[in-house]
Amino acid sequence: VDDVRIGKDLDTSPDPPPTGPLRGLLALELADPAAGSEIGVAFCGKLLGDLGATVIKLEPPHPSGEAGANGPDDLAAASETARRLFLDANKQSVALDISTEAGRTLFEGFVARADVLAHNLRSSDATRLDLTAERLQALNPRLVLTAITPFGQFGPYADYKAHAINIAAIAAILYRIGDPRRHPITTPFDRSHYWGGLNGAAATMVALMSRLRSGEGQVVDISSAECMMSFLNHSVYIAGWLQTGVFPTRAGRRLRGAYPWVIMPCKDGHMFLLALQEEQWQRFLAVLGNPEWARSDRYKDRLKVGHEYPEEVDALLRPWFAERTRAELWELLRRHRIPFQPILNVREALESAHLEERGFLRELVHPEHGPLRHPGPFASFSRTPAAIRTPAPAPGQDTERVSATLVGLEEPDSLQQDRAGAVREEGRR
Amino acid sequence: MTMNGQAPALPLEGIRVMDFGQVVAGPVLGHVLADMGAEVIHVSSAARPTPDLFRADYPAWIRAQGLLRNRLSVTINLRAERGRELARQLAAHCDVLTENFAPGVMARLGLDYASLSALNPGLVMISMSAPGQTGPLRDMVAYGPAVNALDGLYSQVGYEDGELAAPVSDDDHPSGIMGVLAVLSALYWRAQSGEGQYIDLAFWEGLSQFLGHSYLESQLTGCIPGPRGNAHPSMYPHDVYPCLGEDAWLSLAVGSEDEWKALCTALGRPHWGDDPRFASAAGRRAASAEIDAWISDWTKTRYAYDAMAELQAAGVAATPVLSIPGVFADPHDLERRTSVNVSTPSLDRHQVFNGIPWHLSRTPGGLRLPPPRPGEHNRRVFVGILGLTDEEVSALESDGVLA
Repeated sequence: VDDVRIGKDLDTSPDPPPTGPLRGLLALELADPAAGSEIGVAFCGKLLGDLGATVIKLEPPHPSGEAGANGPDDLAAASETARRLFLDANKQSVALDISTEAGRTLFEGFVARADVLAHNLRSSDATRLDLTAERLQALNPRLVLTAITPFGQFGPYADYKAHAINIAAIAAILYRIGDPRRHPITTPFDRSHYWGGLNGAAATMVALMSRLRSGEGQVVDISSAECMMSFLNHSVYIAGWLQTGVFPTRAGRRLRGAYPWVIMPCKDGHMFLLALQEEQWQRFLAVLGNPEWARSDRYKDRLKVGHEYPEEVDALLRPWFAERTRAELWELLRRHRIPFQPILNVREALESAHLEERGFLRELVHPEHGPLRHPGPFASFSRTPAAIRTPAPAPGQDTERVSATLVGLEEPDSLQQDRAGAVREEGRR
Repeated sequence: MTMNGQAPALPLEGIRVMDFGQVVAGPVLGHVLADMGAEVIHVSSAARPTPDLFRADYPAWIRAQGLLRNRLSVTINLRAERGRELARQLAAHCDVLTENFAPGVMARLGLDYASLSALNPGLVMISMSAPGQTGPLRDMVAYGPAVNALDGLYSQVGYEDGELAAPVSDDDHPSGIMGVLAVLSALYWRAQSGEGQYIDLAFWEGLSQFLGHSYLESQLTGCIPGPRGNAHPSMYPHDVYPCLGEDAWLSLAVGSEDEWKALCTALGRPHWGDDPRFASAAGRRAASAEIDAWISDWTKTRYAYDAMAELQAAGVAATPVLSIPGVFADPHDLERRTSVNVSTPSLDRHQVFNGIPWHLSRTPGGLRLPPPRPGEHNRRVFVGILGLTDEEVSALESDGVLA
């Protein structure tokens, strides 16, 4: 019982063909707008698609997403378009209304052929739509069914609604961001959903590895909130609390801990100062010319400084930073192996010569929006390069072709051979 | 590995990993693979102590114990040629090798992919670093949070008036999870082809994925986004509101027309649900003072948990802003075992570990082993896998090679 396909597959991808390690894998993406955000599922699909999987986005009959439901708005429209351009590159789009009999039949045909179905249905949504795990696994016992929702498939909040800010709030992220005298603020860009999508993709791969041996699919239940909390236990945020019983609140431009962990203004913006190792801090003091104050006992214990009077050292450093630009500072500090970095805006980030030389930034020409620079795949693979190949599809543009390939045609001979063919067993030499 | 048609409860059983992980991102990668059943051998050395990055701050044992669970531990002195030779031999018996040293360190030790793949062509090796293994900034020193300064995140976290705020450092952990995704994808490919390969994961590039939408938006609009408080481009309300108690807040977001109507009904102004002025997020944003005062007046008389229950029952997305102690007492988190209490003889005190946040129906993985002592498994590994004798291992330990 082995399920890896060799050679030709059910590939419906347009040119250029995928080169990544998951080529040959067929993943479906189903997002029900009523169930909450589709971003987690879309990011999961994006990661699998960049890795070479054929990813088919099943589009609901009405416009999906929060902007559509909230009415027309230029700001919202640009944001939604941008999100789609980023998250849906490499995907194919099929318009499909599962509430109709024809749509349902087509959907079930897809499910029967797919390796993965990623969705955002809460368990009550799945029941309402007759898309329960039992129902889908009966169509295809090898299916890996990955649910990415704010709170997961069980637990007292399983039917609750949450947008990204609500997820970050209950995951204790907001509590730590902002000025202590002002209200907490969230981390932007719907980051919580990205956490869920990333964990969903990685957990899907675990299930696929398991399927190599068992031949059986399974249900993967991902709660974005739970994933976002999962880093807390080994983070600096919890360590001090466990040790001292005191849990620090938000601290504005800094994190309370060994000095420095702080955002520092400079001539043309801000630098981010963080030095975890004493040697790094000593090298920085040497660059400053080992000033008198640094030799004072008051400023030798960086932990004490960081917890009790970090503002004093901020004030001592501020004039030196204020005279210099980010570019000057970055160049100088890097030369001395001091890990302070400039705070770049998104345009500057996209102009990085380093990322350019690594070939990370890739231009894709979108038929409607023209040439746009995309971030490349999250990792470089020496033998099976992941790639950003095709721009985001228009909703439903691939409906006919994909339907014919996956459901309308006889199973190609090559596929039958692949399924039957013995494949090297995964194992140790 | 058996092929009896039964899925093991540990989905990665039979995969052997040599784990040079240090600090956070590398150990996260190792601990997730180990939770899922891989045999993960963590390599450390007393002779080259991993810089104890938090020695000035938080005790390393807190961090290490959670991150190193389910591991085997060996100690190898990589400064000794015999130590490097044993490391190479062990790598020849592994499916995966993970490391997150600075670029170039593994090559200096003769443990680069070219050397190791010559011994073990099926090896999947991943190197993780902030800048990646190539490029003009390859030698840059940068911790996870600093990567988020470079990728554009920090420039957008703060209040609408321009005051920046340091975000929570949620960078190393997702980088480690990206490592898991990359390694398993390469193993999946190897199952078809027999081919190993090398993966260069730059945290800078990995964390940029979380900002892709912002990069494209700035190209479409020509605008450079700055800090925006809790504002969301397509939702209003989308903010936190004060509740009963000290520094107590409720997060509340309205993502659709239905949710707006539900909010209006729950807060006793159902007619606002049909008011054309408020039919879109933009319309509501234009009346923000009026709307925010109305919501705050309601939340101020309630505890955040009560407000959540009331609003969720009405179909409104609202949650309390929890502190970390709050997370550990939350009923939902308790039921999903988001964190677990661990108490074993090898731990010097009661510990709180992460649970396994991925719930796989057939092969859930599990917490099997407490974090090891350094070198606890030298015999098991060097005798059991490399075929050395007990005496040889003892001699290597006393010679400072396995140390």
